Amino acid sequence: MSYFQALKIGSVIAGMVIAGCQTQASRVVEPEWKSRVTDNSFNADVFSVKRKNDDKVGLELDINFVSKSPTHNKSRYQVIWMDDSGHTIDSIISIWRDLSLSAFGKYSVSHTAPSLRVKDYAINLED
Amino acid sequence: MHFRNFKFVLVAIIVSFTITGCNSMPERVDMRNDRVVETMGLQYRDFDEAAAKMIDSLLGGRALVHPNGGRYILAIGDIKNDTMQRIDTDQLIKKIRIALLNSGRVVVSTAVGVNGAEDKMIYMQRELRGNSEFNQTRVAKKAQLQAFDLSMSGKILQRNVTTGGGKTQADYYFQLTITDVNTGLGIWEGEERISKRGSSRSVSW
Repeated sequence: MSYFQALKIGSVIAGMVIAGCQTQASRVVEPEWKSRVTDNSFNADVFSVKRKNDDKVGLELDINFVSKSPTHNKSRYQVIWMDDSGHTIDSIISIWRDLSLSAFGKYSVSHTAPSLRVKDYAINLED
Repeated sequence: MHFRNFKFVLVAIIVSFTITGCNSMPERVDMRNDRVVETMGLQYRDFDEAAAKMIDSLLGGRALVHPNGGRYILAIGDIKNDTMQRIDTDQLIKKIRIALLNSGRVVVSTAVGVNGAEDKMIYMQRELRGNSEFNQTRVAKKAQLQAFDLSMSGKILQRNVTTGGGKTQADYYFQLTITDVNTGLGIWEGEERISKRGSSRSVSW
């Protein structure tokens, strides 16, 4: 094996290792939530979403954000509520809300659906 | 030749003024994605934010969940404006009313209010009783109006503080209480604060 062949194989292996590491590190949003979270933020990620259904209160969400920024930074998010057929249920609580995040900090918010008709949700995140 | 140049410059100036004038035409605000410059006074986004947080608290709590599964009847009481601005408190209350109505937990009575019925037509229709010009089958019967279970009261406060360096901070407090009128006990209370800091020359009234 020539020196150049060995160099080629070595660089391919190194590239695969780096690519593998990157994929694992950036997978903050769990696959089942991907269709519901639109993350356009450089400063923050949706770390997890926990949902609870209560017969009398309706759908409740606990949304956990994590900062990707080494400094204090701001993002904003919005929760869209939908009925069982996927139609948006318009509500004042779907306004954009500011997120004030400390460096690499975590932040949790809780939201209750505006109506018992709500069966699903979508979260938008941007800076 | 000089005169022709002068005419050209004059026309160019007029055209540029016209274009500038066109640029300052009013434009519709995108209410869902508006990031305009903050003002010291209260603006629609402040009411939206305060209302959304109040509604979060109301929906997230169990205070308005009727034990028998029905809906509470809510009357709107006194909502005071204790700010330096001339604002209509319905800018806050209407949003909360709509959200509560849509939540399915509450209906709002418009037959009663601090200054009489909110909808005067309720009583005007009853004045048609016995009037032979009107088909009486459509006139409301007696004892049909529903008394309310809950009342909402509150106020919006403003406090200005000079913070030094030629700056002033305006703190706005949105305070609401829901009272069970049967027992006289407050079953839910909410307060949201919005603070703005700017030049003391900025106007906040």
